[in-house]
Amino acid sequence: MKKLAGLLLGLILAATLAEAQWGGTLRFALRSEPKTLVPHLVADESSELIRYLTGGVLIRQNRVTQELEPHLAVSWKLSDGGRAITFRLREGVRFSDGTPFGAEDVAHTFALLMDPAVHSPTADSFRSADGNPVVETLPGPQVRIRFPAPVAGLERLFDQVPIQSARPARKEMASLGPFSVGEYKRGSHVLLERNPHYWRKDKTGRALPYLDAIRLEILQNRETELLRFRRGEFHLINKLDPEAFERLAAESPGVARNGGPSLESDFLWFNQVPNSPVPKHKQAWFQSREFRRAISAAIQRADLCRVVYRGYATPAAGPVSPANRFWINSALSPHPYDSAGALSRLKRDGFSQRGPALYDRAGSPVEFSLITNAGNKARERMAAMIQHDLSKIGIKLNIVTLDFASLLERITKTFQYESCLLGLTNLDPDPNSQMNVWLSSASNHQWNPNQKTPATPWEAEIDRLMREQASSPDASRRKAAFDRVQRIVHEEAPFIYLVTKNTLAAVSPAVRNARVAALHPNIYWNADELYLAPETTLKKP
Amino acid sequence: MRLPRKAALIVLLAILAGSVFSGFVVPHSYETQFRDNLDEPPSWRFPLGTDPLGRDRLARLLYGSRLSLILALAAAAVACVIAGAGGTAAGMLGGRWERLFLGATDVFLSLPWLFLFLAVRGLIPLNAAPITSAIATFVLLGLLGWPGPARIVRAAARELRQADFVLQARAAGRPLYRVLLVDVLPNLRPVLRAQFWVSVPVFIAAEATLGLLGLGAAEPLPSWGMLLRELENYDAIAAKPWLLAPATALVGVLVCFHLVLSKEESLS
Amino acid sequence: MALICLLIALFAVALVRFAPGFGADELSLDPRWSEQSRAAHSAQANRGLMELYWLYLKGAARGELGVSTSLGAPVAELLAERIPVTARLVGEGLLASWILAVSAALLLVRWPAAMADIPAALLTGLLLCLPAALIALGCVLAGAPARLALAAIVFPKLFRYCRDVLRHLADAPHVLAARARGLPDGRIVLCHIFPAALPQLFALGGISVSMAIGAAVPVEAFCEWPGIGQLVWKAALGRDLPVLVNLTMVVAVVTLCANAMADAAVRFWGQAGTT
Repeated sequence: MKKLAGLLLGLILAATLAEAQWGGTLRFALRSEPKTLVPHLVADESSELIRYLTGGVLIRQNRVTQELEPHLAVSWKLSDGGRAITFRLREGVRFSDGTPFGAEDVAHTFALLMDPAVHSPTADSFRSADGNPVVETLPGPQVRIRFPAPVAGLERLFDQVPIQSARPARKEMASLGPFSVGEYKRGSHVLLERNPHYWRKDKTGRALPYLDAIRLEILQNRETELLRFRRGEFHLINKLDPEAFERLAAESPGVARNGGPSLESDFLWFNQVPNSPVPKHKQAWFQSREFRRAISAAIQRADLCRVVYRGYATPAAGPVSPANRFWINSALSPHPYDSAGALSRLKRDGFSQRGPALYDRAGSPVEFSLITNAGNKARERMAAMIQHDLSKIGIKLNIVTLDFASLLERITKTFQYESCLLGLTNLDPDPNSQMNVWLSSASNHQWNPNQKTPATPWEAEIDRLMREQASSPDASRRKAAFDRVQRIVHEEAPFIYLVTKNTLAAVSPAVRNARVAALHPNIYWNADELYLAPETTLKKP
Repeated sequence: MRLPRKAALIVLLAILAGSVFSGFVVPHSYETQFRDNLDEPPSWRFPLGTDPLGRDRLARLLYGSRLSLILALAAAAVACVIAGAGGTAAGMLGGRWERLFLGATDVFLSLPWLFLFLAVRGLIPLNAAPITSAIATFVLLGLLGWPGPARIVRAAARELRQADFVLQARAAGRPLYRVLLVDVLPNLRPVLRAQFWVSVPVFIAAEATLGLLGLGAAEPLPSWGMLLRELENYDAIAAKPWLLAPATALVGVLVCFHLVLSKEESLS
Repeated sequence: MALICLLIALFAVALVRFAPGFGADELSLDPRWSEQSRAAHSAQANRGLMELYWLYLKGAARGELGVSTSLGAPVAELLAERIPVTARLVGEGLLASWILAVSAALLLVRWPAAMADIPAALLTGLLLCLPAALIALGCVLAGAPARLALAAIVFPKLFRYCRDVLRHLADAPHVLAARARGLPDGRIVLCHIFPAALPQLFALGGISVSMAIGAAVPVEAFCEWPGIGQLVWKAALGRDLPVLVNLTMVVAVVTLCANAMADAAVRFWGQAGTT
């Protein structure tokens, strides 16, 4: 009997072991040159991906469940009204160079991050008030970090802070993540090698990752990326175009993966900056809630999803994607398409239709421009569709595509634009990361930034609610406040939300354990659990 | 007039007529979106199919040919005139004028003119007609496209400076400008003709590339360059060979121009 | 030449500095970026033309070419890595296109059948009309080397000039005289027509270098050739002044040298012709 049980156990173990294949090199494209490999200076997407794959963090947000998980910290505790956080550190962990991880490394990392000369978004996220945080190393081993003011959503921010070694030799190359940077050839590739001292283990107790290495080829062209994926030279493609997704799905079902709504949305807004070069009569239109709501009602969002995104998108109701399960205000739904309703709103606002064209109360024809970034096919098509939709209610929309730098200058410096169509990617689901969007005094309050005092009562209310959620440690209170912000935005429509895109990816048949997540880095989020089965060729088109 | 030249002329006139009177050739406007007929193959209703926004490809091709052909031809002519005038004068005058001219061409050839295009785009009012950006783009292409051919014209003119018929004309007291116009320029026709013939598709392709930076024709206005950009996708071409229609039309137009403009020259 | 280089540097700095979007950073759309960080960034971006020009000249004189704002890497390192790659691509591609263009033009002049002209016009027309990106992609698909893509892009322009120039010279008085004397057609083409075309072909040679460098941009982008063509597009979009000015100088020096050699060849040939 004992022998039989042992045999059965052995078979089960063997079966489990046989599933996960150890070794191999995962290959995929990096769409731009990483600007830096120094974790606390990261500000671009490619560098952020490398940081994610090599960095060991105290707390990791699971990209699928969106729950916080202990990583290098086995537990943590907030105290002092959200001003302090105490971590109990995981023991027996080593950096990739074999040196031990400890409290002094956490202190060193924070010292680097809080250097006044460092101007990265990660560092700025921790700066809630003047003054630097104080890091205390405690026995245990524990670390307490005390901030000058409460930082809302503090725990989540540590997901972006890889701990760096305090030891002098090669400290930037010693990593605590599943991989470390082995080789970087500018213009060619980045090779990440397995960290032999990675602390996470699989079900059998063996140290992860399964892979020996990850090779990221620096490749900007999407057509070439797709070609190489088909040839078997790449194993994964993240953020696939809808057209390429459809083609792959038709050729090889199972390869194309639809991860559902992402955190990316497209929206448009009107320039409401009072001293901008926009003519006064147009400023009056843009500042009118009825006008904005009418424009929103005239746009066929369902068509945008179907035509531009081939059905791999959903109409957007507000700034929060359905993928952001905790923070979305589910009571809100997208503004429905209603061209008759749009015209009624406009008539209430003093507009009138004469023949095919719409005129304001002063008799000026309603005509304005919409800028968007050139080279982005989806946005160019959306703009053309919106132009078509608005022409049905007598509005003439002039589309101007600009290169990104020119567009940025107009919307952030010169304000020489009338309306703008852009997209937004929320890397952090927590609304506190968007304070600079919702506060009327902030620079990213795109429709009318840097206000000395709120221009409207509803913007003043948003200011109050955002400050309330930023200073409260209670998640349900924060949620209630931000729900109210979403409702105000839904009613006043300073941003006209259009669509939320789906996360589309391609996964080679050879890759196992891949799951597409809505949160960045999407398909790569569990790289330490990915493994390569014996090669299966992709069906040729 | 030989048969190939006659045929080419007829084809060119037909394309010109089709583009000018596109409203009579196809029933749909180039901007109407048939959202229930997206990316359709050719049919009786849409002879070249529809684009991803459901717009009639034939209507867009015909209207785009009006815009691109006229503007590209004009820009090519401008570049040729400047190259011809400048290169000829520099080659004939020689000395410090020639050196100054060569220096200017070298400067022009080296500078990143892309930023001038961006600056000009920035100056065009946002509510200007969509064609304004296209016109500005082609004007600039014409004004900046002269240095290369000007150098070749200058080399040719330099050779002609000591030619017998030129010396004879100068000795007869003919003014320099008449010598240039009557004696020198006709001998530079091959270079200018080659430049013109090459410039047209190069400018159309350049307009397509500049469209990636917001220059060129603005939506919903179609241009050949914009239509050619759809070809940057092999999968799409394999699945939808009718996407090659704009490239085929442009090649056809160029060959016809070549036949109409070429003189018959042979060793026989 | 030095004066022209200084002038080119000044114009390049001016063009980039005053282009819309200079100093704009994508980071400004990141709501996590604080006001202090934004202020620190814009202080650097608001430098004037002469200050930037002077900084560039000072640095260049010391051999320091600055740091790329879009890539965060020293420009000298970037250029040292990428120039040889592009030089090889341009050199090989240009050589291939010249050999093809001159051979094809000579053949057409030697056997000027009227119907041979149409296929030549069709082929060159097709290559001119197809986007460079498509030609480059085609080479990637076929597994062909990148230099073939570059040759395919430059060849039709060279061929057209060569063909027209040679054809025009076929009616030159000295050629007619040679024909009248009964010389073989092949000899007429090689010894009487082709040499007379050389001054214009030399001038074209200088220009062809600029054409090839321009063609290198889409070829490198699509064939993933890590040369300066790839760098220039990204730098232009990012208004990366250090990279753009230095790249302009590299292109300028190459163009000036190529044209100077072409001019010298034209002068030499002119003198050889008269002696």
